[in-house]
Parts: sequence; structure tokens; C-alpha cells
Amino acid sequence: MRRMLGHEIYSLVIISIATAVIPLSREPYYIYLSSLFMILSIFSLSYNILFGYAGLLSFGHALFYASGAYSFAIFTISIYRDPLVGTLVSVAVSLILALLVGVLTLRHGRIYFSMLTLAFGMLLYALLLKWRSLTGGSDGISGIPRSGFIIDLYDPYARYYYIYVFFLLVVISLYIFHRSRYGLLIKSLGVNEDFVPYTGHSVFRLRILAFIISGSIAGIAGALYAILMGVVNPDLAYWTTSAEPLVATLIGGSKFFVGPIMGSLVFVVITTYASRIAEIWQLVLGLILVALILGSRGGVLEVVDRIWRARRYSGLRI
Amino acid sequence: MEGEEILRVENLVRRFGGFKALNGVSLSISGRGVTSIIGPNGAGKTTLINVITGRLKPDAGRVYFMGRDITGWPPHKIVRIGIARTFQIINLFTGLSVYHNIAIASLSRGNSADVDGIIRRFGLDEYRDHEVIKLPHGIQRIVEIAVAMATKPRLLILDEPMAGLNSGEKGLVIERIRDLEKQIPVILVEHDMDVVFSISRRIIVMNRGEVIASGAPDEIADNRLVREIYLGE
Repeated sequence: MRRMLGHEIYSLVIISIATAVIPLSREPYYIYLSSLFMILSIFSLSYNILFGYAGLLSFGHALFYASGAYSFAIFTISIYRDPLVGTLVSVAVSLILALLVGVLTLRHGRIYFSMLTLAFGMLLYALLLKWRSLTGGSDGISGIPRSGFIIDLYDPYARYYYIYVFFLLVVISLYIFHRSRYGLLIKSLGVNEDFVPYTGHSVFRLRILAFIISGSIAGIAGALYAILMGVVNPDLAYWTTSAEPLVATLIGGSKFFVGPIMGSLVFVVITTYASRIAEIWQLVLGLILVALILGSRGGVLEVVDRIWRARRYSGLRI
Repeated sequence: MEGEEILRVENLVRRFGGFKALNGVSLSISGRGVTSIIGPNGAGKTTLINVITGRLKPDAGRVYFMGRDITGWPPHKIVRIGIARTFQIINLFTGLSVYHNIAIASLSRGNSADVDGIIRRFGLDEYRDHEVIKLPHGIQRIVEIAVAMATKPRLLILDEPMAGLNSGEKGLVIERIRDLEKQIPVILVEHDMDVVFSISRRIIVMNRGEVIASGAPDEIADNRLVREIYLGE
């Protein structure tokens, strides 16, 4: 038990240090890639609360990512020009949206839940596309302010470390949650949801709790994306965006706390470098996914865990 | 021995299509000790338990617990009011440790539950951090009862706890039930007649969705109708 805890913290410390020193390279491209990695990690960690913990397969998680990004853009352009306040507003908007969508979707069986989340995600996509006066339609919103009344993120290094601070905050808070009693209760849904009521807990309430935490953290990822890119467009709500944290989580391993982070790293590396070689990154990603799902459903970390377990290692599992 | 009435069911009816699994069942449980419910397969024993614990809704009739009408309540609310149960086929968080299984159940009763105390009381110390799925069947049964007790019930319902156990494991489970019956009333649904007659204070006999007899073990053993219908004599 203690050793498992040690290995989890060990990997998280390495990731935190590695991401902290990337800007020392002074390579804008690496800084950009590392920012993308951190944002996708936050998005995937939030996704895994539903997928790996609560056993809920959402096809519409981009709903909260896009709502975070758009609310940041709209708020900082039209209401109050500040990235920090904008980020907090994005979290609040995504949280409220998660509560509403959760109430409407979480009473249903798992298949219906998956289909309903897909429908809600695409509903937002359509709304972002058609409500041109607010969202800019297919052009999206550009010119998102990076400097504001409280903080200034005009400098790319400041921007990077702003994303880094939120990345650390999310990782630490989710790790505390993962080890907490609420984390355990949400995990119980994924292990045997039918038994949960007989331990005195309401499945619906636990699902709502998971959905709200997950949705609001996805909102942070969306806001950080808007800060990084300075532009948002409706594709952020499209179903393929919802697939990104799912694919990253599957690659890394949904049964491991650090799984979505490792998966995000692999995802960013593959989508960047495989596309450089040729336009075959989808093929590479697809082959990796097929190999992992057929060979090891726990992702890359399951493979590592198996090797270590064979050497009497006690495991990295959630 | 008859104390305060804990549970009362009145005229419960539950149909599955054209089949009446419960056909106007009424009974009352009072005081501590084990009340066993017996009957041939299809008698309606498990359906009765499922209706009492909220797994199934009755088509007619009422269920009262400590004087409160709990008919149709969802299972988690019924657990919180004080009725815990186990299942014919072991139902646990098999991918989690014994400690986590008990901790999840005790969290429904707030912060104060002493998970390690429960583990000690049920003699599960050596299995504390073991994944439940890797434990022997008999130990899993005891974990199931420990999880039920972690919800601090005022009534415990055990649905065929001896199913699939060897005689050594049965001895372990009987020992635990004997400890528990001193603290709270226990309803036991069981097919092993040796266990039922050795452990019960009262026996209720069901057949074809109805209660056909009720009384002390020796009364039931002498009951002509029971011998005819249940024992086939």
C-alpha cells in the first residue's frame, strides 16, 4: 500500500519537475507542446473521474471544455478583461452546466447516458455554430485578451506558468480527491454500481457529484486552451474533441491515477510527430489503441504494472 | 422473548407477468434472535426480501419498519433507516480490498465508523488489504455480513448465506450469526435445514407465495401441513 502510494507520488513529482523546466529550453515549439500536454492532461483527468472511477462512458465531455473556453472568451472580451477572473467564471459556468446536464442524463442506464451526452455535446456545437451574434459562428471568437486588470499573460512564459499552476492545482486536488472517502465512493460506482445502494449510498447523488467535479475541471482545461490559443471555435464542442480525453485515457490506463497524464503525453507526441512524418497519425494512433485494447485494457501503465508485479511490485492501480 | 415489533408486512402481492410470486404475505418480526424463512424453490422467499429491501416494488400491500411505512422506498434509503441485507450470489465490491468494502458501507453512517474495529470483530484482520475477489468463498460471505453490519443496521437480512459453502466455512458463518443475533434481529433465508433448526428462534414457512406456517422450530417440525408440503411426507 505504502509502496503504491510512493510510486504514484514519484511519477507525479517527475512529471511536475519535467513540465516546470521545459521553458528553460527557450524553444517556443516545446513550450507550446508542453502547454497542450498539460491542458489535455487536465481534460483527461477530469474525464477519467467519469470513465475510470464512476464507470460512465461520456461521448460529450467536450461540452464542458467548449463551455469553459467560450465563457472565458465572451467574459474577458465583453464583461471583465482579466484571465484569472475569466478562468474562475469558466469553472462556474461549466459547473452549472454539468449540474443541469447531469440531472437530465444520469438517471438513465449507461448506454442511454452515453448517447445523451453525445446529443448534448452536439447540441452545444450547433448552438455555437448558429448563434453568430454571441459566438461568432463557424469563425469562432478571436482576439481573446491575455492581459487584464489583475494579471498579465502577454508574455509566453507567464502564459506557460499560468497553465502550469492550474495543472499542478488540478493534479494535487484530484490526487487528494482520489485518496479521499469521496474518491472511494465514486470508485465504488465503477466497481459494482448495483451494490452501491445496499451500502446506504444513492447512485444518482454519487454520479452527480462525479459529473460536477468532472465538468468543472474540464471547464478549466477549456479556459486554459482559450488563453493558449487566443481563439476559440465550435470544433471545441464537436464529438471528436470528446474522443481526445477518452483516447488519451485508454492509452495511459483508466485504472491508474496517472494514466490520463501518461496517455496525454503519448497522444500529444503521436499527433505531433507522426503527422510530421506523414499524414498518418490517425493510423498510428488507431493501431496503438487496437494493440492496447486487445493486449492490455489497462493501457500503457497496465503493461508496466504487469512487469513490475511480476517482480513482486504491489501495483499502481487506483 | 417477544419485544418491540421491528418489521411488519401486510398483504404483500408481487406479480411477474401472470405468476404471483407473493400472494398476500403478512408477517411480523419482533425482538432479537434469528427468524428463518424457509420454503421450496419458487416459494417467494427472495422476492419477499427484495420487496422489503426496496429492490422490487410490490403490486399491493405495505411494509412497516419500526412503525414507519417504507413501502416502495429506494434501497439506499432503506439501508439508512436500518435494514441491511446480503445476497444469494455474493454481492460486493470485488475489485476493492476488504477494508475499502467496509469503509464504503460505514461512510453511509458518517465519519465515526470504526472500520478496523469491524474488521477485528469479524476476524478479518489477516485479509484487511486483500482484494475481495481473491478470498475464499467462506471469507467472502463473512465480508458480506461485515459490510452489512458496517451500515449499523437495526435489522439484518441474510439471503442464503450458506449457499456454496463447505462444512468448515458454514461453521464460521454460523458462529458469526450467533454473535450477531445477540445484538439485533436477524432474518435468515436458508435451505440448509440443519442450520435453520439449530439457529432459529422462530421459523416462517412459505409456499407458492403464501405464508403457510409460523412458530418455534419444534412446532414447525411437528406441523402436519409443513411436513406434507415442504418435507414431502
